[in-house]
Amino acid sequence: MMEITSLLIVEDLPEARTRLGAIVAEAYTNAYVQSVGNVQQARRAIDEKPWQMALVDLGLPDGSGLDVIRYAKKKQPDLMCVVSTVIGEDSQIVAALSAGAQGYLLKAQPDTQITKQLRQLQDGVPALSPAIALRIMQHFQRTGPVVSSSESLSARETEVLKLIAKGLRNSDVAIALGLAETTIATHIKSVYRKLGISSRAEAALHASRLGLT
Amino acid sequence: MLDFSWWNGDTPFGVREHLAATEQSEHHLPTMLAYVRTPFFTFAAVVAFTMMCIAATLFATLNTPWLGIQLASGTGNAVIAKSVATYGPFREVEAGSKIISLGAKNLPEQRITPKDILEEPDTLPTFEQWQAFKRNQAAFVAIIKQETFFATIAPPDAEVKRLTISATDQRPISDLPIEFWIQVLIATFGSLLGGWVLAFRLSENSAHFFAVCCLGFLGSILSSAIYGNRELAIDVGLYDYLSKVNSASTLLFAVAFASLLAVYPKKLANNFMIASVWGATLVVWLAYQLNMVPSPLLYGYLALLYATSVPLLVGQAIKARKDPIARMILYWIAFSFFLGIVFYILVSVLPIILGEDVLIPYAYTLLVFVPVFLGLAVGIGRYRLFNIDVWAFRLLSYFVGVLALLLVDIFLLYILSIDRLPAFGIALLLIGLLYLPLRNWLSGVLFKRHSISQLEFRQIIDVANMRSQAEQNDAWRKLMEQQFQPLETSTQEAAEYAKIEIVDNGLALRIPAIEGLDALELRFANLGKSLFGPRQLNQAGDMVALMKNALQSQQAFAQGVREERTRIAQDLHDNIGAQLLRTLHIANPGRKDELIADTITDLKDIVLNAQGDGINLSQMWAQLRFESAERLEDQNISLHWRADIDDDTYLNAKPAHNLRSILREALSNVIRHSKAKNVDVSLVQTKYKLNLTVADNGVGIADFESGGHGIANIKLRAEQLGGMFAFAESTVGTTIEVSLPLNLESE
Repeated sequence: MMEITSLLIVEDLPEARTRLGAIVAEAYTNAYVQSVGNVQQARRAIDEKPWQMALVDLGLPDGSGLDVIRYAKKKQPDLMCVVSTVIGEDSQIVAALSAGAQGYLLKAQPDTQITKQLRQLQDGVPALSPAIALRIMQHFQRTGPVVSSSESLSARETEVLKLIAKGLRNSDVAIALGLAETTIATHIKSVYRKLGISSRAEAALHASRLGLT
Repeated sequence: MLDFSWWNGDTPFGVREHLAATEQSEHHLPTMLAYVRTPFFTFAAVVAFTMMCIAATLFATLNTPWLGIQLASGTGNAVIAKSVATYGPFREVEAGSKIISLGAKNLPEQRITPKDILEEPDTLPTFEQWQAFKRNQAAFVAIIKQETFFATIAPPDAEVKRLTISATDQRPISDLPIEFWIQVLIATFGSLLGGWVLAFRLSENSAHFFAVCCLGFLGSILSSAIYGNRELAIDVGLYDYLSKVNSASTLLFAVAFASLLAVYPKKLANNFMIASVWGATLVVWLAYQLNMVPSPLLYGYLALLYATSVPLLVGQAIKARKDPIARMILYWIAFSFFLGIVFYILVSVLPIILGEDVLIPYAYTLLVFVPVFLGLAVGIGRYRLFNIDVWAFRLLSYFVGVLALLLVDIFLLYILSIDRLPAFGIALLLIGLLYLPLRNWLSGVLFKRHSISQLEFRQIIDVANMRSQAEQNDAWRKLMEQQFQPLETSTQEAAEYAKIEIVDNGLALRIPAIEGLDALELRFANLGKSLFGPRQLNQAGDMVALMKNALQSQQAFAQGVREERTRIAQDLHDNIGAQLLRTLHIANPGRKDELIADTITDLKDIVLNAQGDGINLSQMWAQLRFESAERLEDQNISLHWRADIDDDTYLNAKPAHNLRSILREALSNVIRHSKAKNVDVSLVQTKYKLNLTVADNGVGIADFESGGHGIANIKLRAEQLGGMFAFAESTVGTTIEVSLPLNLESE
């Protein structure tokens, strides 16, 4: 567990920026928060100083949030990127996850939910909704047999994803599988990591075919 | 009978049009006469005439006393029996014996000399020699016609002896030599070819000349077949008659041939000049008949007539320069002449290979005319002229192959002195190994089938993606022009071409209308330098097929986009619009936020339901379970979830929205009013229904009627879908039951 002390908000709508800023201030009381409105500004901010976390909106006026995530991962590999999106179209989220994002927030949710999710992220518990879990499973199925085992899902990870896709939350999955909730969180983080790795290889091709990028 | 159905509309002068033309003039002509002018009748008449001529030839050849002996000239002015029929009158004579003389009682003994068995007595240089030949023939006929006569013969290794012989009345048909049949066959071939061209070109000068040419050919060959294939003697009266027919036919052939080249494909000489040549020819023939002209002079005149074909061809070549069809016709004629020469070489070389006498029988030299006549017929009939390059290559390559085989064989035989059989085998092997691959490679290079390149593919797709019909038409036309470089392109808006076709003998290519693109007619391929041929046809076919496919997919795509747009508009109006309107009138901010959040979820459904096959119930329900658990956990309420639904149930946007709203509303009620610690949610799918039960262990609702907004909304949403809502009897808390009909996706 680590405390978030610096956070970058990349969001073009002023109202949403204000709202996210307030939510973040409540979730991470000691964090320094900066807000930018487009890809260019986001890059500059990333060049200027190190960040612990970035909340990135996908639809930006001068490009895609995916570019910001890729740039951030290149410049600051330790920076935790979280996608924030209104509708949360599954394909967009999976694309962002395979670009290196480690989580996502749905802005349509109530403030309290978002706050809760941010806190969980700080505690190292990534969120995964049923629809996204389903998408991720499909993604790994379609990328086919991967040469390296470090890039394909383990049996346990697949099991976790299956249960999440059925609507079970991390705690429910933990009970169902007789595991600790932290173990489930570890599995999910591993899935995110593998999604990022696999997509760098041949998966990129499949992803683009699926319309994921 | 011959089948004329292959003669399709490729050419503007097909049977159908000919008949149509005949029908038009029908009111002028009696029906019989109209029938007479059809190609079928003309051809049938020519066939009948040819058959009659052959029958007459056979009759004249067979209706003569038979000796059963084949004579040939031997050494030292001697005549020998080359072969003897086993059951013939001369059966006791050994083959190879000299036949010295024939004689009979009361008739002078007549010596046999090589001059008596000449194939073409007409070639005798002087009139006197010819008279002498006829006298001898008459004498032999007189002897043979006797009941019995005697023959003086000298067997190879024995004494001279005299045999008594009686000839049979009829020559058996099996006795006719192969040369006779070759002559009949070639004469028939020429005659039918002439008839074929005449049938389809009844009103054209060129066809008339060609037909006369073929008639001359027929007369010349058949007449000489009768006397040329005699055993020894022929009736002099018959011979005189045949000789007249022969010389007249030969002259007719030569003069018609020269006339043909003078008017076809381009008119080089006027009618007066042609008529003068015919007049001169008639004079020469009459003079020959009156014995005023000796035969060398006659043959000289014939050679002169043949020789005119060279300047005539040159003249034609010059005049045809700017006319692609005339040029193609000339190519054919020139090519067929060339083949004739190749044939002549073959015929000359063949006997050497076979080890026969180097002298070629007259009949074989006639083979030379086969390619020449074919070429002329095709040229005049203008039948699929545009195929010339392919055909010419095929024919030529075969002839060159055979020629090469023979030359290699001769080389092995005479230069390397290898035996005949192994030499032929080696030659065959060499040709097979060297020439055939070369030929195939050349054929591949010359007649490479057009395949659509990447660039052309992209251009076709670009045409399909043009926005307006006019732009598409324009681009398609430009693409075709770029492909075939025609001098003229015309858009045929009203034309209904059934298929891509070559018309006007390759001058034009017609491309039918494709999926809204106008039909096109391209004229004068390759800037007028060539004709449209099968290769262009293939190429156009490929491009049209691809274009059609591209347009169809484009239209299908556009149709899909239209349908999808309609669906989204409908869904937006019915769900999002209605919901936002309701939200507008709600004062409670918390409630408003909830509804807006719901609306965003609905919006996601509409956007994501892009395939139009609906929302997957089990996925939606999983998402709701996740969401509900989060909500209830915040309130310390535990959730028990049961879902008994099929994985492949799909709902439309409206029922999906209502079902989701019902659950959210029910759980909101639990959170707000029940003070419950536990909620059981169960969704069970039966064949026709979805049954939702939400049960809590809270305080319960005292008054069902005052259930508040939430309950009223649930009831309304259920009823909107034709479903039912009810409170269930329960000892603790509140249990609501909602039942929805499951033909939801079809509403």
